[in-house]
Amino acid sequence: MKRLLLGLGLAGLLAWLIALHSNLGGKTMAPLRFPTYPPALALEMMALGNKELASTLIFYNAQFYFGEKYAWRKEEPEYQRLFAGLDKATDLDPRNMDCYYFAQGLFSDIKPAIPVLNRLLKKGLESRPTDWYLPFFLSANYYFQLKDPVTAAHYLQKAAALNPDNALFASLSARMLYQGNQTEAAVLYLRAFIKETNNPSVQKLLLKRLYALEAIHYLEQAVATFTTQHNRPPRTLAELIHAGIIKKIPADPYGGTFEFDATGRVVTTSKLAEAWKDHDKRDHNQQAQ
Amino acid sequence: MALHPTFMIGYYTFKGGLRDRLVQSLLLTGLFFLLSTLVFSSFSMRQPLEVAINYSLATVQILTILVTLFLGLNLLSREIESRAGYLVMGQPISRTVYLLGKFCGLCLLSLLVVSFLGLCAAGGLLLVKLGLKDTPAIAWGNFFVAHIGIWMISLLLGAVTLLFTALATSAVLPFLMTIGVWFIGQSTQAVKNYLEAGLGEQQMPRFLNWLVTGSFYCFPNLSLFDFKTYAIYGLALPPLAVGYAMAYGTIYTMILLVLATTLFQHRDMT
Amino acid sequence: MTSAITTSRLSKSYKKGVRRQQVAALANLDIEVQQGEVFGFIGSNGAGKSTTIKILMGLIKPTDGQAWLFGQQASAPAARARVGYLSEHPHFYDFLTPVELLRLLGAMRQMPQQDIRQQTEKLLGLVSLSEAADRKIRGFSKGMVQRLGIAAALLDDPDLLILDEPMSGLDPLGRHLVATIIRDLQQQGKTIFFSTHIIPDIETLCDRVGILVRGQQKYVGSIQEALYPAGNRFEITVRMPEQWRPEQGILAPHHLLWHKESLYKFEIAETDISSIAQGVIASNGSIVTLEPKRRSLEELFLDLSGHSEPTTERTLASPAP
Repeated sequence: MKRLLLGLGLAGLLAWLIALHSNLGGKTMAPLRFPTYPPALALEMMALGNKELASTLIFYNAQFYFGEKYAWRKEEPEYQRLFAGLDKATDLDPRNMDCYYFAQGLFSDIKPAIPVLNRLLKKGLESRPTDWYLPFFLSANYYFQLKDPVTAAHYLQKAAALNPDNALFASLSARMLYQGNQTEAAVLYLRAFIKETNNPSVQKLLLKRLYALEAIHYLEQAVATFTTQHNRPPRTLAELIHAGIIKKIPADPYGGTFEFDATGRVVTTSKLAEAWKDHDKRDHNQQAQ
Repeated sequence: MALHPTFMIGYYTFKGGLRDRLVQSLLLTGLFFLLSTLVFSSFSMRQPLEVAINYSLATVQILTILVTLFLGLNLLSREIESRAGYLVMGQPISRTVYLLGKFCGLCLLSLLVVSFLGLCAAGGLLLVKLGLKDTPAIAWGNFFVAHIGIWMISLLLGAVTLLFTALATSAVLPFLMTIGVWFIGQSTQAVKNYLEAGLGEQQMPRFLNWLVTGSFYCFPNLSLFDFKTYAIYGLALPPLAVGYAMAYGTIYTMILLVLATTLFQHRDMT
Repeated sequence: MTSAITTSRLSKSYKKGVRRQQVAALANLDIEVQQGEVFGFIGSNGAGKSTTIKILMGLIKPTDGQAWLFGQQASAPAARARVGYLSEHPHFYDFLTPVELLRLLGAMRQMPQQDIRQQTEKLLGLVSLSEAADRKIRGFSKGMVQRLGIAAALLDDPDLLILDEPMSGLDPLGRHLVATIIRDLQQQGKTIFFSTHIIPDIETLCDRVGILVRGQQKYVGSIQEALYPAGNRFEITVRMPEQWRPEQGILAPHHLLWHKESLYKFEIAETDISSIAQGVIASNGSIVTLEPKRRSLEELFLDLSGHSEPTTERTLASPAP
């Protein structure tokens, strides 16, 4: 009888602890940091002849880290460290397509990251010369971020030659080169990219971007209609509602509001570019203060 | 049927290995790991099949080498250190026959281990492939050659254990030293490539450079037997590389055996 | 006929410790064991018995001197063809059963399958292990392993048996069993060379013994001569009439060990035996026992250690061809 009571008492205590833990929520969690990996040579030596596996493990770590940090904890991922990890993973196994795909998904919208991202993709292209994704990614980065349609077209042709049955390239290159509608091309590119992913957190990130792009596309079309009707561009987005062209301004998935920039283009208030910063340096500065 | 004593010793070493609890548990672990291929590969975004091949080959390699190391410890080093070796050496056979017999048994055991794990890996890969659409074909030929490479590594390390056993008077020392050779042998090529690429010239003192070059020629270069990349990505296998690796492995192993038997001749079995 | 075992100035020294000091385990051993002889090799622990046996079995190399088995260099594998060997604390592949173990050993000796099977059955019966024939050696007791070792040594019907402490680890029954086996083998004309530190075994079994003290050969010859050397003292027990007193008569100068009722025990010298016997009979007494005073092994070793020069039976002729 005594033992039974003791057992029940302990069970009750455990239940209380579990309840307490879920109430505490994230407060008891240790901060999540992405590791800084040793140099690729050291990693290769530690892998004991299994560098492909080491590469996959780094990628998995990056993927799981991103999932927890971005989708679950809703914290800002340490993008530079993530990139450094993926860079080392592709040094170990330059054929690891997961890394390139993940890197493109994560960094293609962060303008300051584009030079290093393109370098990473070119490393992949060297080892995977028959993979159409890599020139496809490069083409998108050159076109949307670096505003270099000539190089973009060169890579797009390469991608099309590797995958001649895909209709995507024709419509994409038509929009990129002849109609000059960047937003429409970007939506098309992003849809093609999202179709290929099976990682929920990456999908979440990309869908957010897609919604923003679609909203911008929608607003741009409204601006074009306004301009033809009134022979002048609208001064504010609110004018579009007054003119009865749209019912309301769509919400910015990044939490801000859509507005016109200095050249009159619709932009979001997304601060994505700021996410590309050196966390180590920032930590250091914080400590110094 | 009267077998040569070498093969008799080999056969009984083989038997001993099969009845070794440690080996049995390592094989069970291997089975578990190969089944986990299904889970492991599912996390890949773009190349689940490649990851599955990669993971199962790595499992086969690590486990085969571990089994070889422990078999070397239990069936070679421990036997010679304990008095069990007296029984065999008290027979009218030479020590060379004894040592070669032991090595034969070890070869047979690691062949069995690598085939068993390889078959399990192949089964796991077929399962993974069943659950996937539009995957490239698995390069079974390369997969097979990768296993031969793994077997070669385990034979080489077995011969290394044999050499150290012939020299050392403790059982654990050869085991640890073989692990050392394994670590070094897996990385000499990478370090040498790194140095030759001119990346490390600034930081590296000259003597370190010599050390690396020295160990490259002295220690077995185990990266030569790594055909995993070809199997994972279905790349065309260069026949010259395979042939060279096989010749290198065979000659290196034979040199180790000659050294081991020569040294063992002059050893006191105290 | 060549000798079964011949050694000539056989020496072995080890380097020990950090300073690599030379420690002599065996120095200048000269023995010759004839075929058909039972030779006991005696010495305390660490006297060099096992070292000698390991040299004979080719397990270790002598630092100096040579050893031959049936005229062949002991280091050559072929020399062991006619030899059965039992090591001290034998250690077998414990994953095997006795039957498998004997099959392996038989195969290594290139014995025909038929013979291996017959011998296995016979020998496992002889050392009473028939019931454990198919059990893993892993579960065997120390005595069972020792007996299996004897069966393994006898497998190929060897002409020479080299047994290192065959009695160790055995219970009295096992010891009796081994003694019986050795006697049987002696009758079959086999040569047996065994080391031991148990004196009663030697007395009953050996034709000759060699005694080692700290690596030095101190004695080679008959065990009786070693234990009861010339000039040895005797113990005599006599039954005397009631009125007889030890202070009177011929026994008066001798040392009285004990007396109970009419029984008296004296310590006497060998030379006095006949005169005492006559005196006892003259006093109407009778002799109950007369036995040599036996030296203990410890006394023997102490005695031998005292000598600076080894006592050899004879100098060896030139070693076997």
